[in-house]
Amino acid sequence: MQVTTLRDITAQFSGRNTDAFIESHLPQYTLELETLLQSVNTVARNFPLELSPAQAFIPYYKRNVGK
Amino acid sequence: MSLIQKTIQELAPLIKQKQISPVELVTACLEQIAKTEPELNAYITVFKEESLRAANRAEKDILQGRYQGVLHGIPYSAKDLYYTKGIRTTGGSEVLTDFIPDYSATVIERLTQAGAILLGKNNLHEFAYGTTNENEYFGPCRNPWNTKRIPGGSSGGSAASVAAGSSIFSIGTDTGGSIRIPSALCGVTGLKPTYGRVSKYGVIPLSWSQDHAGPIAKSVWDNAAVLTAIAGFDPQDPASALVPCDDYIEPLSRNSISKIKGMRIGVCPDCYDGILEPDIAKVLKEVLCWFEDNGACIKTLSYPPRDILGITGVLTMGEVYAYHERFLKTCPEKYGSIVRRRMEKSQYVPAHTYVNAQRLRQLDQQEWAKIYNEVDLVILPTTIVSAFPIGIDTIPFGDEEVDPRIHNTLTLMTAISDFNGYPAISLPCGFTADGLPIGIQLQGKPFEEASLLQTAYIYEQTHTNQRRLPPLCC
Repeated sequence: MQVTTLRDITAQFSGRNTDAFIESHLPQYTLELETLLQSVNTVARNFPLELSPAQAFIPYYKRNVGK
Repeated sequence: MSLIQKTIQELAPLIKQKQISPVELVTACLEQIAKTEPELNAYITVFKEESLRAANRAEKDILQGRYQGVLHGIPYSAKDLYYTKGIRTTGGSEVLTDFIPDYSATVIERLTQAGAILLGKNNLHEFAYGTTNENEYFGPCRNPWNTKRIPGGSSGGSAASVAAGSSIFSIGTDTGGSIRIPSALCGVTGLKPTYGRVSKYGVIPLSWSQDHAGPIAKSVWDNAAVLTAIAGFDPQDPASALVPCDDYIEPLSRNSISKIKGMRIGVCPDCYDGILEPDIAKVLKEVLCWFEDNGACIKTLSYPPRDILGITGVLTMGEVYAYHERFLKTCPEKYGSIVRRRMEKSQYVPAHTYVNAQRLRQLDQQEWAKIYNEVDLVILPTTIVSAFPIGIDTIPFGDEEVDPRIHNTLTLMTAISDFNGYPAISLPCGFTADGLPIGIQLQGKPFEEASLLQTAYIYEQTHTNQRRLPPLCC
């Protein structure tokens, strides 16, 4: 994973430039993220194709919002 | 025993019978706050005048025969993630240091309706994103058992205030272990209910799909009493469960030790073998032996595998960044450097990785459902290490040295129950050779907090000789 990749993500996806604080941590992020993403990818490789995600939201329904 | 050393179970009849006044109790807690805060830093905001006014109202109501129940007149504190109308709610951060919400969290409203009296807002790990409560803006909270050590987090101030007697109970939140970790390290009892059991409306989120609200108190009975007041469906919380609540207190009166006989207990040694502090391993063994000696069957589980435990953090990363993105753009310098470092990293998690973590969660749900066909309860250490010094650079983890602020050392055993949403309670079960508390946790079945609390109560009642108080409380 390249530092420039992370820098580009911040600029293009997050809409800001990396400041001194983020720049100083980018090399460490590349190491940590590579390990983390690889571990998820390794586990995900063995998922049954039909495995769906656990529910992350509940569809909108009309609620009584009185306090 | 002084008033502040007593439990809700001990205080409630005294208040009901008018033998003590809520004003006395609140005054005693405020005096304890004044005595301990210079050292502990468990509070960010204290409501001295407001809490005394509330205590006077409670006293008047009780004297006029309008007693509302076991929490009436009981002083408590709340982690400073809970919105309190008209009173600043900081999230433990300079980012929100001047934020004053115009409504209160549902949990706060329900406790007010139950007659409990809010003393103040507790210190926490900034935005709940950590486990040491070394808060860079408000200062670290300290452990009442050894003030050079962390109280654990992120609800560190909550657990420390209960242990020190500067609140009778507290309300925390738990996303990776943040109720149970400080409860274990501070020697008190903390319950993470089933996901959706307690409303999170009006609680600053860390990770929406893993956040839980719950009590921290001195005993199992006290936790049951608070859960009774705060649990239940809330239409204002989209994640609130439409599942009826049980009576959490009544089963505690059926506390015969014979209930342990035939209980099937699951243990997961693969998760912690080789990395558990020796004193914690010893206490865990004693707890398991107690269950076995009283007729329970211990079953070794091969799940969860240790290598998936770190993956659960992917969910947190994605959800944290979604909430904090606006502040990281507009005022990043207001974050503590370590919390900021973790949050900034979160922006680089691809969407499909987040989705795969949620797919893993689906598998995890299936595994736990199978496991609970074979067991009634799972027992784990709450933490693999005891409270370590504030400011320490690294701590041992197996053969490595790791930075506990970045590494998941403290959440290793607790994040399991945030990922699966099952209820789990941490009980104080012993001490290290250095006199630091050790917690062991029991994980029950979804929405069966009544049964979980009953089992925890039975264990607790047969180990009352372990009830000690930190020096600050005496």
